Amino acid sequence: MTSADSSNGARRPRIGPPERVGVWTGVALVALLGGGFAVGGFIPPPGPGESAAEIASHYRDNVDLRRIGVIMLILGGTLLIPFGGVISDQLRRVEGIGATARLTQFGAACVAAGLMMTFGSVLLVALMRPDFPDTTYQTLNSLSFMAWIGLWQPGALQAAATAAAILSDRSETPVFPRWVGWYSAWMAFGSLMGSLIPFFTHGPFAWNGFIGFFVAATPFFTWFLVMIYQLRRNLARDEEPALTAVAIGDGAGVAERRAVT
Amino acid sequence: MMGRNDREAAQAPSAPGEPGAWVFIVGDMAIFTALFAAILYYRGEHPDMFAAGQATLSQELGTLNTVILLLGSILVVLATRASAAARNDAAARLVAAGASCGLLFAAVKGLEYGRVLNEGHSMHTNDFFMLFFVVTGAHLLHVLLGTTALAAMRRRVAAGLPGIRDRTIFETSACYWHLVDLLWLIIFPLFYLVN
Repeated sequence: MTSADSSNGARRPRIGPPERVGVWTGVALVALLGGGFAVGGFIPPPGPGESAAEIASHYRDNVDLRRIGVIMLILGGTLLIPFGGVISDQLRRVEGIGATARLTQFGAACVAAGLMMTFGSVLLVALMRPDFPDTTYQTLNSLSFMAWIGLWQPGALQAAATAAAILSDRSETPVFPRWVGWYSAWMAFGSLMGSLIPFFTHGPFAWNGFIGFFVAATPFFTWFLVMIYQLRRNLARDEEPALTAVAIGDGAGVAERRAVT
Repeated sequence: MMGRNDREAAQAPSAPGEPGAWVFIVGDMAIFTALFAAILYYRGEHPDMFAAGQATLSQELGTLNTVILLLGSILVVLATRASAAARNDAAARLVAAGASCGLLFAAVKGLEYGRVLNEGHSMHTNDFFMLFFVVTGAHLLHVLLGTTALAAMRRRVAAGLPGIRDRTIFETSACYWHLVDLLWLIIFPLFYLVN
């Protein structure tokens, strides 16, 4: 008898190596995205209001280091896919909801990963040819950071779908605590700040500004940390031997626990 | 018989509404705190620009909106009390009136935006108007969210909040409404009074 097919009726999901690895991809994702921004010299990135010469000189300095930074960003972005998979795997255990929320969550994660890959490649093109004209750097820089910071919709959709699933859980023992759902809702709502990005080339709301970059990054990164924390707890809980009401203090329960383990 | 721990648990103060929802409310307050810090920073950098910008705003419309939101908060407090006393019809009417205050606030804000835009100012005019439009716009979005939450609760309040989580969700909506009010009580003096 495996933990997945316990006869006690409680939720006994199957937890295997892919699920455990999936949670760790979340840790790697945060490290790679944070590290990629730091190594690439993108904290904050070159601003939309900077001159072509300023932006070109930024990319012509420490070219190899910046290439490594962008590769880290692409790799971190790629890991959005397995991490989204682990979240979906947990969301499918929520009682009484259909597939829409988990599929939306996973689809949004894949789109976000695609954005990291596509516009990471755009920056790698810029970094491949230091002899490009200055204006080419300006264009490629604008393309990438408008997509990465200004295109808030995939990340917000991922968090909103997660929130919808968690807050719909009617079980007495919900898959996720409700505060995680509210945190996800806050992340999705806070992402609306990204709508300001196209309007400003200077100041706090530009993509390199105090609000547009630093404040907006906070809900985004902390959402992944919250999800990592909670997924680890969920997996640890799901891996525990099945203990039911009948298992407390009687011989039958001990026997069942032995059977389950 | 209640044990000591049970008694302490029963007497322990608890946050109104759903505890997890305070994550959302406190998170929102954190973002607005950053926006207020930006206002204070830019006002310190350009005191004359802020004084000139403030002079173009209508204190009357700002004050009117303050009164509208305060009235909305009072109505929602009365609604929660009426609901707790099982006066469901009265509670539902108070909820509807509170939500109407949100719509009224949005209408006055629209009037004010139209007036400022007609005078030739936009969020690209200078740092004052950039912050004015962004911060009050973000607040307006919160007002509309709070209004929607209250309007969505009206029927359930009229039915006596029959669902398991209905009461906590209603209290959460009320708390969110008070947050919206509280934020305006900081925004109003920052843009309309202090300079």
